[in-house]
Amino acid sequence: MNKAIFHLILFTLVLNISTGIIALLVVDINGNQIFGSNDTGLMPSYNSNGTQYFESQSSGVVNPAGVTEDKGNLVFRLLDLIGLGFINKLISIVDAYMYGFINLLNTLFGFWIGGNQALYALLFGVNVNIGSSYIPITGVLKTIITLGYVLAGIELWTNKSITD
Amino acid sequence: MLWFILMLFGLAVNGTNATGWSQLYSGDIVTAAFVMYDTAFQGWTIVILFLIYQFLAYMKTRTLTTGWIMGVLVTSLFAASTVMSATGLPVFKPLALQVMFVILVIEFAGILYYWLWK
Repeated sequence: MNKAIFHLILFTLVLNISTGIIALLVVDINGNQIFGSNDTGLMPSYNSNGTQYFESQSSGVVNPAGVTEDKGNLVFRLLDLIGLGFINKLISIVDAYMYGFINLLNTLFGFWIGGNQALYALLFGVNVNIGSSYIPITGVLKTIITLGYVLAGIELWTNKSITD
Repeated sequence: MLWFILMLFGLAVNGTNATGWSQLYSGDIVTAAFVMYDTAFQGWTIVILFLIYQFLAYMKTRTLTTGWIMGVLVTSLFAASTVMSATGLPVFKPLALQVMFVILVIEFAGILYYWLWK
């Protein structure tokens, strides 16, 4: 059990590495990437969205203060944004490396079941609008992977096979 | 003669609206054939060639690494060709590039996985 679940992490790891290598590897006659450029590939360029965790996920940017505004307010807002941004970034890294296989399945096949909203929500999760806030509901596939991680962790901790 | 037959096939697939005549009359035979095929297959010509080469390489050698190297070579040649950067071509599908990208990435990930941890 723990062998399979950790090899899934290893495969996701090499998947990330190979994505970056292939995106950098193939260039056109002018040296521009064909897989990373927006005008030909319609894909986001590699590592271009690093600031979204610090701005859009934390719902705002820090603007320069006016003369009447308290300067301490700006500092606290900046520190809050940095702290929340790091937390969001950490969550996204965990999501990319521990649940990257599910995200790959979502990228490859999620589009084709996009018409069936209930099946998509069941498999890959959805943001449910409750009141005025969106609550993320985890899909079945990520829950299964999480159970695998918990069982593998217990097996590593107790050194006993509990799934055989 | 071969190009003529290929273009007849392109015409037959394409139907009445033949494209590529301007490239053919300017003597650009390869681009003319590509334009005919690409119009007929609606932008999927390069993916069809890519998959055929992948299948042939794997069928002949039974090695995933050879198939991946062939894929990178075909993609790099396509990227470096004037077909990629030509602006007057009728059809160019970004989804075709994405299909090639996904295939190359999964192949390379499999190669790295078997090389490192299998």
